[in-house]
Amino acid sequence: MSGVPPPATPAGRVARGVLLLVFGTFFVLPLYAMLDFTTRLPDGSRTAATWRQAFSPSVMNDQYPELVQGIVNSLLLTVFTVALMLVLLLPTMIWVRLRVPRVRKVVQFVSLLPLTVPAIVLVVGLAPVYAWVTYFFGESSVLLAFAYVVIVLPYSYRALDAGLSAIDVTTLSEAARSLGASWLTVMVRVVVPNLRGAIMSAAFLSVAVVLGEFTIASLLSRDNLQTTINLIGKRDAQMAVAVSFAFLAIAFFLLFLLSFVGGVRALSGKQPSPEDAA
Amino acid sequence: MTSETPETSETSGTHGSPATAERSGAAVELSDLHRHYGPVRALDGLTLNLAPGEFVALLGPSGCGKTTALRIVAGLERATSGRVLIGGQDVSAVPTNKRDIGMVFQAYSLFPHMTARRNVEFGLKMRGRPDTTRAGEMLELVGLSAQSDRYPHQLSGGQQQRVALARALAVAPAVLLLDEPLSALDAKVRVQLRDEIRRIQLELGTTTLFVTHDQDEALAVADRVGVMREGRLEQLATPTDLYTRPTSGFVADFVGTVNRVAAVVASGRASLLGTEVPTLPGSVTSGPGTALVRPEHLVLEPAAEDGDGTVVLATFLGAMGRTRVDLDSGETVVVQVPSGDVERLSPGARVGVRCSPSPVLVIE
Repeated sequence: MSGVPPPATPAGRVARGVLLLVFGTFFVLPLYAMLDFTTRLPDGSRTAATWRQAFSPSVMNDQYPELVQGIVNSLLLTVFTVALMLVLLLPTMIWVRLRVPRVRKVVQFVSLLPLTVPAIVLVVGLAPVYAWVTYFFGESSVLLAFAYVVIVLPYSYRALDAGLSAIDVTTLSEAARSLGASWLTVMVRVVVPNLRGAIMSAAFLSVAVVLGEFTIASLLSRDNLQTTINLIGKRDAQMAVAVSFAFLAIAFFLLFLLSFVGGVRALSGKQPSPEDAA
Repeated sequence: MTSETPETSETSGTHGSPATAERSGAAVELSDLHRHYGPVRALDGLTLNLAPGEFVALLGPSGCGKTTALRIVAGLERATSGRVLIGGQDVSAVPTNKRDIGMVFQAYSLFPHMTARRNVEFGLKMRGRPDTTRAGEMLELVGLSAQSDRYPHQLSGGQQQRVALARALAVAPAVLLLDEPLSALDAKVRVQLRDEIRRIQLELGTTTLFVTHDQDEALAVADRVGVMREGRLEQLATPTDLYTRPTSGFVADFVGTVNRVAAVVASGRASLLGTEVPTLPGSVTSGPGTALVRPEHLVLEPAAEDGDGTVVLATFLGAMGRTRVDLDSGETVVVQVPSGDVERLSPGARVGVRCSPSPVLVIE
């Protein structure tokens, strides 16, 4: 069976166009509304003042210091969350695949569990834990990374699991072992390089989740981008929407980058010619 | 079980010749290996000795334990009991990466993110021997110098397995383990690579244990072939001996084609199809039995009178032909005939069937 899709019929092309238009409108319209709102003055005229302010570090520092702090917190949270998630999840998943495949279902269940628990319920459980976290490590908002690792777990797990399923981890590791590699070398030099796409997927999805997280930060009284936007929105709605838009664009860019990287990887292979077949 | 050490086995004229190679491999000894998975006995007392530089193939049906045995030698699985000795040293508790082995797997096992050359260099680096020329030499040995900068996905299946072979041999292992490395390849490439593996093995003299379910592969390349059944070695012998002197019905059935013909044994000779032939060791000593006769050991004769049976099917196979004959006794036999005879042996023709004087195994 060929992997090349059959050419679309005229009716198919029309249906495809209509669907693209409907869904495009569905996604683009709110963005357009945000952009429109951030560039409109009360008299109906247009201005880019809000955007100029948003991209002016001095103005932001002077007028919206809490927003800058929120952005910094969120960026730090993304870094720590991704790092912690990879350190915890990646070796565990590789180890489970290679050495204890019988517990794979258990790890899968545990990893997907946060998806079924509403954030508000999660906070009820996290609140007493964070009382201890605060006691030992202080009140830094960056400590939310511990909670965020839990909420990004289902997305990261799926991405890494897909990557691990795409390669024959067992055979590759056995081949490496037979050539003299230690388990650490197998992971670092054989498995991880072949999971680059999956690791990037897991990381980008985690970044998107962390940048958009509000509930846990708000209920645990920590400051991140979303809680600050919410706060700023009460006194300067245009700036709040502009910053939201900017971070949405960043998230879209990350996802675009992700699919671009995956696409390039898929296309990079040159197939052997028939004369090479033997 | 019949198991011979190389010293005691008769040497086959065509395969036996470990002497053709410079012997640099190590002796390998599998001693009373057991491997149980719950109630399932994958290995049930396997004992096998490989002489330095010898090429032994383990042959058998799926689930007979041949791959398990190979993986235990590699250290990828632990034996429930028994010992593995490489070069006289007990390596039963030594982890895979500390064993002096090279292995080629059934599945493509090249590291996808490395070029062919870097794949071959990997083992050298792991063993602290970053020899820049060795990888090139090994790729040249398998005829892939020109493809050294290609990634695995840019190589065909046959090329990938050749690189895997070069990678396994680059570290100059004491033992080379081949786990059905040809089974994913198409027939023509399989034969090419099979011959190449044997050529290289003879050139380097590496002790080699080759697992396969393909009898042609095993018979074509190995110094000795071990036929396994239910975790045990049924017979270990040179390819010629295994084919011509099977010690059990299972081996005779598994290696090549046999006809089962009623026979009567007396004084070491079997009477069948109107012919008297010597019996092989392991046969019943007297009385009625079933003779296991190869198609090439049966001869068709023009029916002088009524004949012994009727031709059911005659098949042209190029260099020879095969004829299926329904005997009047109710048995059906397959007879190898010269290809030129196939046309005249039309279905329905009456023929006589005789047995050539080659020794046969007669079982109960």
